[in-house]
Amino acid sequence: MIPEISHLLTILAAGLFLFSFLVILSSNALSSNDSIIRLSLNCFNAATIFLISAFILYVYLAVMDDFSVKYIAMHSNSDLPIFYKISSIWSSHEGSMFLWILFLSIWLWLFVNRLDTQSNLFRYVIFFSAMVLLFFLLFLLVTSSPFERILPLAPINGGDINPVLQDPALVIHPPMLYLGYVGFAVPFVYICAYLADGEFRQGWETIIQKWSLYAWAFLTLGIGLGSWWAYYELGWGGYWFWDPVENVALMPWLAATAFTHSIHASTKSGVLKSWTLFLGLSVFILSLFGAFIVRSGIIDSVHSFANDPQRGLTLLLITGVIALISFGLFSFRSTKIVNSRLVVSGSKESFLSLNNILMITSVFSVFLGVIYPLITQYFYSTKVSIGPPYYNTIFAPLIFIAACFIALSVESKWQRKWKVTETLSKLGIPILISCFLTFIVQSLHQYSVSLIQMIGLFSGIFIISIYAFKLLMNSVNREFINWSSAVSHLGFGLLLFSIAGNSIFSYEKNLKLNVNEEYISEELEISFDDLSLQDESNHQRIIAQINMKIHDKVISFSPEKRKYFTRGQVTSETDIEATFLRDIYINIGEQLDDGSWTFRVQFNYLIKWIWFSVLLMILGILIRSRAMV
Amino acid sequence: MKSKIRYIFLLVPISIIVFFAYVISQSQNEASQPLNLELPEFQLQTLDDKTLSEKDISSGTYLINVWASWCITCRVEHPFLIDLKDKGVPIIGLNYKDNKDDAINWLKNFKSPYEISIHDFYGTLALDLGVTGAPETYLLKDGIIVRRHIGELNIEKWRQDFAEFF
Repeated sequence: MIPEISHLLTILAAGLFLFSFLVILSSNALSSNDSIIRLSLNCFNAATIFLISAFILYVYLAVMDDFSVKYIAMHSNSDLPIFYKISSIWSSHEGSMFLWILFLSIWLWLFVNRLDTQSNLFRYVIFFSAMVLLFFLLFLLVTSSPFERILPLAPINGGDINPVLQDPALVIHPPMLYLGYVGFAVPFVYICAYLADGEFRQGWETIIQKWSLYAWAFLTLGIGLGSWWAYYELGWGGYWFWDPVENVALMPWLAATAFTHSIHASTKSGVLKSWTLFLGLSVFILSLFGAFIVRSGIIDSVHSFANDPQRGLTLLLITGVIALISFGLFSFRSTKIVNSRLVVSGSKESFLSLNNILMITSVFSVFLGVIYPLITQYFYSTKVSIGPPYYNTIFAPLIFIAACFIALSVESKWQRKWKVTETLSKLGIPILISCFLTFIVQSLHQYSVSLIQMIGLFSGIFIISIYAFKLLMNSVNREFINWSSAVSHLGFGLLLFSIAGNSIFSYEKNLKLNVNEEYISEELEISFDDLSLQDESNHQRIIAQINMKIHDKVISFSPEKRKYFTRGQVTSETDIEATFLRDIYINIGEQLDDGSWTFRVQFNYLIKWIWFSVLLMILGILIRSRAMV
Repeated sequence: MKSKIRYIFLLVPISIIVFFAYVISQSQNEASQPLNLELPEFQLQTLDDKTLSEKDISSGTYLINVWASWCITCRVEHPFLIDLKDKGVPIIGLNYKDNKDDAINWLKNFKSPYEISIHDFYGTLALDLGVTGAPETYLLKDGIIVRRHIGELNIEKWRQDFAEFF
C-alpha cells in the first residue's frame, strides 16, 4: 500500500506543477492579477510538499526492506546497515533521479518563497520553475519509475549493492553533488524570467548571487568527496582519473566558477552583464548535459547506469528543449541589455572578463575531450581514447595564464586603469619566490621534473605567495584585504601546488616477501613479521604484520585480505600510515607458488592537501556568502 | 550584439542535440543487431606465458571479457564475473593494451574470474574483434561470436542476452 501512496503523491505533485504552470500561461501577462499568482504559488508549494512526503515514504520503504518494490529489491539487502539501505536509493538510475528531482524542487521552493510576490518577475519565475520540474517528473514517472512492484511474490531478500559502493563517502557524495547541480536551477530560472520579462531593471544580480555561491559550495564538495572515495576505496593512489563522468561534472564546475566571478563584477561595477546571464544559463544546461551523458549510457564509465538509449533520447529532448528556450531568450533579448559602464582596460573587470574567456575555453576543451571519441567512432569508424595526457597538456598552459590573471586582478582596481610599474613591482617578490622554489624542487629532483609539472608547481606557489604577501601587508600596516577572495584563492593555489607536488614526489614499490624476510634499501627497511588467519561472521581474514623502518622511525602495518562467504568476493584492506606530508600505503597481494607474498607499498605525497585545499576554497566562498544579507 | 551573431547561441545547442540524437540512434542499432561473426585468427601469449590461438577455443561456449587493470568499470564488473565463474561459466579474459605486471597484480589482488587471460598488448585481436574499449563481453559459441555487450556486464544484461546459452 505504501509504495502506491508514494507513487500517487509523486503523480499528484506532477499534476500540481502542471496546473501551476498552466495557470500562469493562461493568465493575461499584462495584468498582474494577484489572486492568479497566489493560486499558482499555492499549487507550487503543495506540489513540493507532496514530493517531499513521497520521498520520505520511499526512504521508509527502503529502511523497512520492502522487497516487493522492484528497485529496492534490486539494490538493497536486509543485512545492510541502515544508512546503506537509505543510500541504496541513490545507487542506481531511478532512485537517484528521484533524489535529483526532490532537491530541484526544494531549491526552487525555497527560492520562490523568498521572492517578493509583487515583483514583475515573480510570475515568470514560477512559470519556468514549474516547467523544469514538470519535465523531469514526467521523465521519472514515464521512463524510470522507481515504484514498480514485484507482485504477488516478493523476493525474500534483496540483491545487495556492490561492496565497492558501500562506503561512507559514497553515501554523501551523490546528494552533495546533486545539491550543487540543481542548485544552479535558481539562477537559471531567475535569468530566464529576467530575459522573458524584458524590462531589465537594475540590481537583479544581488538576488541570485548568494544562491549561486551556495550551489557552488555544494558542487565543489560533491566533486571533492567523489575524488576522496576514488582514492580510499579504489585504492590506486589516484584522486582524479579524467573519467568521462568526472569531466561532465568538471564542466559545470568551471562554468560555475566563471559565473561566480562574473556576477561579482556585474554587481560591483555594472559590467559584463551579458556574460553573467550567459554563464548563469550555461551552468544549469551543462548540469543537465551531465545528467544526460551519465544516464543515457552512451559513454561507459564507473558512474554510468544501465544502458537505455530510449531513456537517453528522452533526456536529450528535455535538455534540448530547456536549452533552446533559455538560449533563445538570451539571443533575442540580450541585445537590449546595457551595461551601466564600459570596461576600462587594465581594470579589475578587464581581468575578470579575460577570466571568463579562459574558463569557457577550458569548458570547451573538456567538452571536446568528452565528445571527440564519439565523433571519431561514429563518423570515421575509428576508436580513439582521450586520456590524462590530453587534459594535462591542455590544462597546464590554461592554468598558468589563469594564475597570471589572478595575480594581475588582485593588484588592479575596480574601474581604474592599472599602473604597470606599480603592479609589477608588487608582483616582483612573489615571482622571484616561485621561480626560486620551483628551481629548488627541480634541483632536488635531479632535473627530472617535467615542464607540465613545473608549470603547475610555479602557478601554485605564485598564487600562494601573492596572497601570503597580502596577508602580511594586512597584518603589518592594516592594508585592505578581501578575506573570502584570499581564502578561496589560497585554496586554489594550494590545490595546484599539491597536485603538482603529488605527481612529482610520489612513488611506489612492489615487493615479494616471505614471513620473517626483510627488504632493505638505502632509505627504508621493511620486515614481514607474521601472518595470521581469523574467522569472522561473514568473512575470513588474512592479516599480515609488517614493520617498516624509515628515517629511524618504526611503523607497523597490518594490511588484510578478506574473503566474503556470500559473494565469494575477495577484497584487500589497505593499511595507511598518514602523516602531514604523505600517506604510506601497504596493500597485500597474492601468495606466490614458493609461499611468499606480494606487497605494494606506495608513498603518496601531499595527497591530503588536495582535499584540504578544496575545503579552503569552499570556506572562502562561505565567508563571502555570510557577508551578504 | 550584432543580429547575426546571436543565432550562434541557437545553432550551437541545435547542432549538439542533433549530434547526440544521431549517436544514440546509432548505438541503438548496434545494441540490437544479433551477431554472427567468425572468431578471427590469432596467436597470442597468455598472461601465464602459454600460447593460445583461435583453434584452442573453436568448440564449446565461452564468454570473452575485455578488461584492463587501468579500467575502473572492470573493477565494478569484477564481482559479477566472479559470480559467473562460481556458477561454472567459462570466461576467457582479453587483457587489452595493458602492462603485463599490472595485469598480473590486478588478478592477484582481486581474484581472477578467468580460465585464461590473453595478453593483447598491441590490441591486435581486439582490433579484429571490433573492441571499442574496456569492458566489453563477447559470447563465443563453437567458434562463432553470437553476442556482444559494450560496457559493464550485469545481472540484467546477462538475463536478457546471455543466460539462455548456459
